Amino acid sequence: MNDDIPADGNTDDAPRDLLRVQGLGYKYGSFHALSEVSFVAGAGELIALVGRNGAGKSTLLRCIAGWSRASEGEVHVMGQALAENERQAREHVVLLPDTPPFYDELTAWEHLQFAAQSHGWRNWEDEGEDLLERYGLFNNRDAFPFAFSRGMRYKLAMCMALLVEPKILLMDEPLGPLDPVSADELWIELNRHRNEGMTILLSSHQLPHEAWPDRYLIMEQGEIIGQGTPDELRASLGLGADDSLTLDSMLRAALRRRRNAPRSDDAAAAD
Amino acid sequence: MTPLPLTDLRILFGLRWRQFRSGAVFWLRLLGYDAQASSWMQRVYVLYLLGIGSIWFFAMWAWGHDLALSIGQSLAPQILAQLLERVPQAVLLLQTWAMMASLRSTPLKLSFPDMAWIVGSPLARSVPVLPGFIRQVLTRCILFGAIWALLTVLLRAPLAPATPLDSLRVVLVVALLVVLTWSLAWLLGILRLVYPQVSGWRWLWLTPLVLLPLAQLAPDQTLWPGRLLVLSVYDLAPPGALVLIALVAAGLVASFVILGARINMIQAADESAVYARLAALGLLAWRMPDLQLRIRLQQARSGQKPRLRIPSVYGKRAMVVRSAIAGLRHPSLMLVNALWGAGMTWAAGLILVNELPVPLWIGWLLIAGIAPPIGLLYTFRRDVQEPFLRQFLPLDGFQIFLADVLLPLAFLLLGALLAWFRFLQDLPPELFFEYLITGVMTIPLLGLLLALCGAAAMTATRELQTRLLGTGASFGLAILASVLLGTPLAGLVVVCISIALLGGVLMQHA
Repeated sequence: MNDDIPADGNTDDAPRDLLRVQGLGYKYGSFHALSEVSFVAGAGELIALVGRNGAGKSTLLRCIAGWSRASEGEVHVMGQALAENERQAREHVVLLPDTPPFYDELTAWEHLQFAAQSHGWRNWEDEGEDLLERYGLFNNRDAFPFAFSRGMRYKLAMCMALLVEPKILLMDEPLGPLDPVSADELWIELNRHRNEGMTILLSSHQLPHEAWPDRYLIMEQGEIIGQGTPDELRASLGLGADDSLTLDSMLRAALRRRRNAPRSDDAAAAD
Repeated sequence: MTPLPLTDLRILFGLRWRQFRSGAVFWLRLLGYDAQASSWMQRVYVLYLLGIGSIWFFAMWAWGHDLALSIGQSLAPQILAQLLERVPQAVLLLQTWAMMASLRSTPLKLSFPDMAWIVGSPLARSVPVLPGFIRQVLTRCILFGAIWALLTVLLRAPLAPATPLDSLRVVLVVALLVVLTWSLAWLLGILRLVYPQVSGWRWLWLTPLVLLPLAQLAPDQTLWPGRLLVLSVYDLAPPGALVLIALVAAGLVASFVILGARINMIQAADESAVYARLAALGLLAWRMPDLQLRIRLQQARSGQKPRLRIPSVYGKRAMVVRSAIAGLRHPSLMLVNALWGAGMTWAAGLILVNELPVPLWIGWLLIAGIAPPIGLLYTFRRDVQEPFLRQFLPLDGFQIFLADVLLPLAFLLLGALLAWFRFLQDLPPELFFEYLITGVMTIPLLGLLLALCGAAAMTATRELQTRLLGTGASFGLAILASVLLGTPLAGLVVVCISIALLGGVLMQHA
């Protein structure tokens, strides 16, 4: 664990109680996909989840969204424990997986229509059209999503998510399927929603140029091995002021530091 | 150049054999065989597996034989007469379907590797035709041959038990008819691929349907294959007719192989898209029939404009309307629901009225548990098994179930009730009203219970096992309660309790 940052990840005075993850663990059989993951996210925070393949990023997102049941620890959404009030807690969270599935018999527009009308919302059409326009899907509104490219599918999923306006938006590899222009546009959109108070937690191997999340969580083998704001990470990972802070450099520095750190059982033996 | 270069043909048969072998190795590996280790122990283990498989096969065959014999012996003469009367019509239906399928989409199915390596290779275009035809005909011969071997035992039982020779004779006739039917279908399909201007006729594939009304006008000319089959069951088929069929089939095969040299392979590859996607799934396609169905429906839907629109309704009504529209956009699924309901009700009626052996009830339950109508929970499966979509539905699992199942269940019940009503027409008047009321009370509840068993199983890790267990336990207990307490009301009470329990499971876990 990053010893510069408190165990709950609370590093400043911003409201941090919208999403609270405490000691989360998840096992696939005997394999620990997550262990002792703790952090807190407040309203209007954009957090990037960084890590190598198989580090546990997607599993963490699934546990927070309630798609997978954690084997230990707790997730609190807006003060409610997910395990106890699953349905209420899940109302505030939407997770976009890397390959979102859709109904084969509904068009893109009908997906938005169904999501809005099943929630009982009236006069949603202007917002729906605006979303499709912003994400470049307006001309495909009457097409079936199974015929869409991966990027278009992700954009439609994004439109559905934004239409229901969740308090917490979780995104798994949002930039992977998108072209560079769409990725830049998505980042601008995410910033806009962050400024409106939405909490966004996204896992990614790449970020658009000049894209700065509020905080980073660096994961490796199911554990958080570093977290904080860019400045905090620069300091804690020993990166100089001249070193560029990219996902790549951050991840390498965190892994290096983890390799060099004495194992906890070795340290105990030395004591 | 000859129309069928034998060297090319040998290469392709070699390739197909390797593909078959790798498929077989996959199954053997599931049973513990290590294909990498070429030790004697592994070879002995394969022999052991084959031995065990053979014993299992013969045991199952003997069970099927005994069951067919006991059903045949307990069949009333008028039911037997009805069955024999239906056989030629069923055969004609199957032949019509085979021709329609060939006219709708290329009979020569190409997988993705075929498209990459065979279509683009210098192999003669007629070469893939013969192995493709042989593979298709072989699988059908095995399937229909096995079914008819047992049917022969069943149909001959009222007269005298069938000997193995009787079954063998019928299987040979079945094989001849299969070759004849599919060679004609292939010829039609290949003609369409050779003459691309014919492909432009949108409704061409429906033309074989003309045979169905023609069967009423000229039964002798259209129903003879089925009649020949029935005659062969009682050893009355004229040998000359069989020789004639063999000659005609050989002529048809030769014709389409020669024509195959002029096939438009680009069109064949284009029309093989669905087959190629399914072939790429391999054996997984058989384990996941829903995925198979989705791929087929997606292909049918691509390029089409959506029928009907979701009206401005809100909340739970939006759920119901969306599910109904989804169902109506797949009319074939709704039709299958109705046919499944009708078939199963008819079968239950036959078992009940003829007091057929108990194993048939077990078989009926197994079919209900293993193969419920696939359209019944098509939308519900999507709603609850895709957490991304589930997070946009602000209802509990039971409410989603009710909304999703309303229309498909209505079709199922419609088919079941109509079949029940038609079935009762043949019963004496004193039994008619008793059975009618029992059916009207029972069928809707049993339909709902069937849907609930399937839906609840979707929330479990092992879906098939859970569905089998749930269906067997709930339906079985209801039948037991009715039999032991001597009143159908006892069964209905069990059904109602099961519905309440399974509804609770959905509310909590879906």
